Amino acid sequence: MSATEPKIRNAATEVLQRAADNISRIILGKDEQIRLALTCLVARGHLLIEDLPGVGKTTLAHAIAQVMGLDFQRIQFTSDLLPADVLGVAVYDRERSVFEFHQGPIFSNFILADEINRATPKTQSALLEAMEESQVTVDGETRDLPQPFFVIATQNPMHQIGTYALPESQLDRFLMRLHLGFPDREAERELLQGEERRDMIEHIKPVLDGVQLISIQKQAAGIHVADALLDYVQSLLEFTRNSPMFEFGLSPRGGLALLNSARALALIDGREFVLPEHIKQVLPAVVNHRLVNTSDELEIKKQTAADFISASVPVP
Amino acid sequence: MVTNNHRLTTKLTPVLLGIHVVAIPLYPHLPLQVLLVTAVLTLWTLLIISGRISQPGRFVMLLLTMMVLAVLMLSYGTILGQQPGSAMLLLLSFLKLFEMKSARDIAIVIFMGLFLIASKFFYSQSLLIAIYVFVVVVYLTSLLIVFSDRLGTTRFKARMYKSLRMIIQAVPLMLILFVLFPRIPSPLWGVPKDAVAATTGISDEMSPGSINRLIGSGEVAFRVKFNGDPPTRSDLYWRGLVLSNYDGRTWRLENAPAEALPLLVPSGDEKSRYRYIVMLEPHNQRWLYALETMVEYEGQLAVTREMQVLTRSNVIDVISYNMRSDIKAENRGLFEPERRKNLALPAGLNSESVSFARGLFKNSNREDRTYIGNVLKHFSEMGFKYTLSPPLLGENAMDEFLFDTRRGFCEHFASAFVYLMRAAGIPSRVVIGYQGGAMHPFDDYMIVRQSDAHAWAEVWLEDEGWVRVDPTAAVSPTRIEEGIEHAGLERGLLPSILISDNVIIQRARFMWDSFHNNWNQWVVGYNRKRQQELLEMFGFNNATSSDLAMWLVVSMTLAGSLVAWLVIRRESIKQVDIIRLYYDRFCRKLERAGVPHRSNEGATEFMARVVKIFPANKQELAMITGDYEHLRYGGVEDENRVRRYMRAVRRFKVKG
Repeated sequence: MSATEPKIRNAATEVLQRAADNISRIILGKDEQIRLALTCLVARGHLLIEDLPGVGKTTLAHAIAQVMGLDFQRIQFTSDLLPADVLGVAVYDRERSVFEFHQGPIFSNFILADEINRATPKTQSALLEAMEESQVTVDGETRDLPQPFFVIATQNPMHQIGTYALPESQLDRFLMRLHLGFPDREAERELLQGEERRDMIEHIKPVLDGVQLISIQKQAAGIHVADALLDYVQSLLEFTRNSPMFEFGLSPRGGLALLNSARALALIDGREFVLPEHIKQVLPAVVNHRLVNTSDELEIKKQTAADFISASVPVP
Repeated sequence: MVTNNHRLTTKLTPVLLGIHVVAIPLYPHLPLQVLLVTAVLTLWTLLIISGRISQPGRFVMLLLTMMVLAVLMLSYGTILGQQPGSAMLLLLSFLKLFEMKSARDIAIVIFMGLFLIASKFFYSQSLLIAIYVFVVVVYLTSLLIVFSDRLGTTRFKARMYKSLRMIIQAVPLMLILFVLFPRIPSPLWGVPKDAVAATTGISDEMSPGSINRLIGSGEVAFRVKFNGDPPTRSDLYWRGLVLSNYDGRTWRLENAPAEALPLLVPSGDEKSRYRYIVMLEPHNQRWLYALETMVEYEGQLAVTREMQVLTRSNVIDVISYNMRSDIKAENRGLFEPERRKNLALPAGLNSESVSFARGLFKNSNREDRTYIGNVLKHFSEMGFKYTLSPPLLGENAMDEFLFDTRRGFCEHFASAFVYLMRAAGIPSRVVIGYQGGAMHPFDDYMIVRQSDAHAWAEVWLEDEGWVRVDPTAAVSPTRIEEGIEHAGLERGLLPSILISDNVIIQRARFMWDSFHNNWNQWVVGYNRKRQQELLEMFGFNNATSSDLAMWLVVSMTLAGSLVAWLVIRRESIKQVDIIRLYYDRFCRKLERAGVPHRSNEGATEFMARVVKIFPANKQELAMITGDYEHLRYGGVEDENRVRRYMRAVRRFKVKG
């Protein structure tokens, strides 16, 4: 985004910029994805990263956690992982004759749910429900998860035997889905020459902590959205609902996701209000995984949902 | 090219459907060969759509076109005229589907469909057809929406709704055009001659069975609106044709020369005069129906010596005419040739009847009136029966009817009565038309149906002139006094509208008829006269065609401005008016410089693009874009900034 206006340098923007800079020193050549991942975090959403193994999904998650100063838990999803392994379990304490709850790994600020599609649907939905409600119910007792709470799930897009790809209805719970992709030649060279990324993460200094993050999230939620842009979001939603390209249009939740992400991006961008460009920039990450392209026309099939939508709906 | 074509052909199904929907009312009128060609072309198109075969080449298309023309020539003998013309358009529309190359070709087919659908009004102008045409037009417009939308994004329901909205938005303009467009009398425009092919109604001759054939039809023959109370039912004789020539089986017209005028003597009794308007359904004949005896009429009609009213050409539209009748007026004219004509009988037939007539006349002291009374008495007392299913008659039809079968419908009685009169030397003739009519239960007009068709007789009495005698009344008085449905006829042979006991259905039918009547009067029958009447209601008297044209232009302009105003207002409510308008101005300047703003582009994106082309303008571009974004999306009002922004846009010039 080119500068059209001296940007308002507020503390939140500056901190987030510094976080982005720090992360991009580790994940090379992926500035856009890093920006969107931070947007997702600031918009209090959860992130799904879908890509092949070895492109740095886990590294990215780790780096974000480190920079944000959040306590980090990694859950490797496997086919024998049970809901209790994620949420926690109540164990009988013989001496005190009571059940004591042992918190599962989900009770932390930042979860990396690695290869989520390898777990059974039962375990998947235990995680997704926790994500949705920010709380966990075990044995009839409801426990709040710590705040801020952020989940990055990774999924291998290849169809493998013994995996359970998340259905569309579950994908909807992720605010954004990102693809990392291979680094370009230059970045890859640097990667090959440089030191081990995992070690580098250890040395990143956190730029903020959980309390600050919560205040930034609140600030983002207060970013102004003009009526004209609400019209724009509604036109986008309406378009997806009327277009024969998609089986179903975007849900109201999809609309809110779009709006909140755009607000967060505007904050990162140092704006006091949302611009149409912010909506258009978050559009691919927010809507592509929520829409099923059913068009049988090759020309349309080739486009992503977001390209198709933003090409078709005029900016107010 | 190939993929593009393939893409188009897969979208053809709704267009194919559209052509068929347009053609539905055409199908009953098409010859079998044409229907077969239609079916073959449809199947072929479906195969192309499914991708199983490709579009035929130029040579095949040429062959097909020639074949289609050949089939049309074979079926109709011509390709000109209304029916062959519509059939040709239909088949060519199908052929056009074979050579779809671009969306333009589809638009052509849809326009052909719109033309074809308009030709429906040649066959019928009824309200039902109008509703059908409306629905089809909405559908065809929705197809146009699909194919003019580059991305083809709209769902069926959404585009039908959009189309409906567009058509409804066009209705006020349509109404203005309809009301004000100068009406020019036919034949410049109007329904072509061959439009009304088959209609029910009275024909110009009468033989046994020709009237009772009509009785089963509940169709409306005409509607009448009386100025005041209508006459009693037994006076409702709607005269149509007078038949004087009898060949032993069939009664035919034999009119006096056109220049001979009737000799009418009005009664002078105001109570026996009725003023009324008849709204006649098209019957594809020249004669009109008038209450006996018509003494005044409006418009360009001809009245024959036999008191038949004729128009200049066959009635193929609903027409209405004003008349005045005097039910007691006398028709006193009888020339010698007419006397001979109305005494003539076919020689050598029905000897028994002739001698019966002569005997009865002698017994009546050769008194005309007494004789008439005796003949009617014979009908009423000698076991004659009024029936819808009379037995068939042989060569001596009169003898068989009078002395053997004694069962007949009105045409039998009228025919036999006139025969007996002529045999006794009293000039007499058959009149056919309608008798009766039912007042609409909640609208103030009368409906006369085909089932009211009737035949009666007229005899010449030296001191009274032509006098109506209805022999049916002697056999079945209830037929005349209460109507056909009360005449004790076979109920199964009467139209259901007359005998239905279901009050709700009856009511619905009458409501529909009311509706239909208004439609006929105000839409189909909206002619120059009605137009003048309507305008007079608004205080515009004696409007000429050029006045109308002027009003038309003025009101269209007003309507157009109103629409424009509404659109602009809606736009400005939706947008921060002045800010957006100035930004549009800014975009126009850049468009003139060769960089048009895309509608799906945000201001910053646009600026990034423009700066690359006109780097010298970078500063102004950044300022205008920044101000625009702030003012439009920032939600803060800032007078100074607005002024600065407007000034910047005004002064903005592309450098380099």
